[in-house]
Amino acid sequence: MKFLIAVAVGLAAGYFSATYMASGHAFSGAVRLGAWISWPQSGREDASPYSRLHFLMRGQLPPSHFNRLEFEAAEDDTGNPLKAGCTYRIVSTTLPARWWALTLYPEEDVRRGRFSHVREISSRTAILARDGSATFDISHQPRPGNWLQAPPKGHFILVFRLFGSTPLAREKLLSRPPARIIRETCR
Amino acid sequence: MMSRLFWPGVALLVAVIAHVAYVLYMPRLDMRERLDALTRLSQSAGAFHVLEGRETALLARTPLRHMLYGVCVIETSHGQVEMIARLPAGYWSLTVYSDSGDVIYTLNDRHVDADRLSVIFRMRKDTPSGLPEVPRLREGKLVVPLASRRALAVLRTYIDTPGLYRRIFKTFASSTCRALPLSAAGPASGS
Repeated sequence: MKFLIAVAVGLAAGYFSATYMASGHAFSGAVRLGAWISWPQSGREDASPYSRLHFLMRGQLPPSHFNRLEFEAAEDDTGNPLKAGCTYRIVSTTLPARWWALTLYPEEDVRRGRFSHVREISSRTAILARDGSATFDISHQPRPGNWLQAPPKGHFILVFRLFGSTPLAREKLLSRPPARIIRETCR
Repeated sequence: MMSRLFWPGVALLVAVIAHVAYVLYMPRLDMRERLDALTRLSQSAGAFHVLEGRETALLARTPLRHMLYGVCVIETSHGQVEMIARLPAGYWSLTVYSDSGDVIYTLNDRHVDADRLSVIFRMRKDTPSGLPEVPRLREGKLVVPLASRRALAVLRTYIDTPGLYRRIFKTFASSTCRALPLSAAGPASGS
């Protein structure tokens, strides 16, 4: 009996510690920048195995670090989860990339592998400030400017993908959050 | 004292083994399932297939909404595989993944100024220097040596102008992927 308990506890601890590491905690190869998390070495053969596990566990092939840099956020700047019932303002910095896209995924869609309410704005369609920065609103009601419609319910995540950054630009991008996520109101 | 620590020690040992096994083998299992599913979808290994709708979930649970994905499951156990990619104007990328999910090779439209790219995949060979073979151009074809028998080539392009979707889709879908007969494997087989 003691043997079975020890094995069961060991298996559970092994599984949960692996998934904990793959969610971007210490020594996992992830970089946290404000509310955003990035895996800058993803896809490389010498990348942390947790980085590969992170993407595959989420049903995604690791992005090639050479082609693009990805930032994910499931929380706002104050650490609260991104909720469909709230409105948010995303204020990006100038992004030194050839082009970029900001995508909103309802958590439920990600879990179920369906894309019923995916919203996206790219640098080709967004309204940019003179310095290349941009401001986005996430809400149910349409807003002028760059607007992403919030999902009807539940939580959501944001993914910022930047394509074609030079090594120097990547270094700059990984030194500060790509955008601030400010919660405005909640119903 | 020792007998008190014995069972926690066993649990700790099992935890370490389970942790390492999960981290190292789960990606391989995941990739195997993914490659099998994509092979079924393309009807066979070595056929080019453009993913539509929910098929995209086989590559990414969080795909870019306007990204179009074409895949070829590469199976080099019987020889070489040639992929002829028809490339749209604008952004595209080709990424080759190993059977454990690592990126083996990648390039994009900034590296190739053409509307057609021919890539030959074959098993990596030993070199006299002992260094691993690297991809190289041979007779106008890019030869990519692989360390694993199975791999996945993913061609991506971004279409943010809806009116261009069908045209770019047609261009992408005219890409091909096929196993090369041994007699045709000449240019890439020399090392």
